[in-house]
Amino acid sequence: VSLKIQLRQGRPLTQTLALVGRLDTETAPSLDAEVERVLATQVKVIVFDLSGVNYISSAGLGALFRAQKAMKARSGEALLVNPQPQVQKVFDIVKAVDVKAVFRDLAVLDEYLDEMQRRVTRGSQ
Amino acid sequence: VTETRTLGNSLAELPPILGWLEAVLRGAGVAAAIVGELRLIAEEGLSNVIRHGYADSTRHSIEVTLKIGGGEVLLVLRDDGQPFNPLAAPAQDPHNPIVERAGGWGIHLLQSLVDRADYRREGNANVLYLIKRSE
Repeated sequence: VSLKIQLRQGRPLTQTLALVGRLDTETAPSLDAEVERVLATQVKVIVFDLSGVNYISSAGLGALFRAQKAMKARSGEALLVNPQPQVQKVFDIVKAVDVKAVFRDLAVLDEYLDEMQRRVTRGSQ
Repeated sequence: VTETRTLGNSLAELPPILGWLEAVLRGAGVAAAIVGELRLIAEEGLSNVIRHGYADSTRHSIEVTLKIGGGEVLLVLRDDGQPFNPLAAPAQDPHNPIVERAGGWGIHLLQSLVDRADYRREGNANVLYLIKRSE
């Protein structure tokens, strides 16, 4: 298999999909299917951990774009963390992926999620 | 080094061809980053032909030629689909849903990653010459 998808749970209402391999014409349908399964659950944030992705094509971009669109539609977010240089280059060329949703590493992403959680907690008090 | 392979107009035939392309480039000592970008150029060019190139549903074959030498890699894609010059496709807004469906992202990537390119309609074939420096 040229793409492995590992589901990790951490924060409440947050699902992390750690991807390893290629995100392309061949593998994008399996990511779409996995995202569909996640969307069927109570989820506010999907994180795509891209540390293990060494290749992305327009088909892979499409899968990430669809996930971002679906999460926006339910007032949630799809975030991308740690894209490798060759993947970031594709993001820079096509600009399909929302740049504000791309985080260079897990520490920066954690800060953002902490802040989001604080806002939610304050909002419900 | 010059090598040629053909594939049918089916997305299922894409992965083995891309694997072959990678193996030839690596075997010729091309740097990993350039191999990855050439794989991407080939994937975008070929998947676009397979998805949008044919008006009928019969089987067609697409020829892929790889020529390595003189500090360059030449990739030639030849198909007998409807006349289409991907190099003349205009700069596109990636957030236009029609562009997304029509494979506009892939064509934009292909255009951005090659160093030189040429398109010719030869008889009933589209021939796309894609050149990337390998050094």
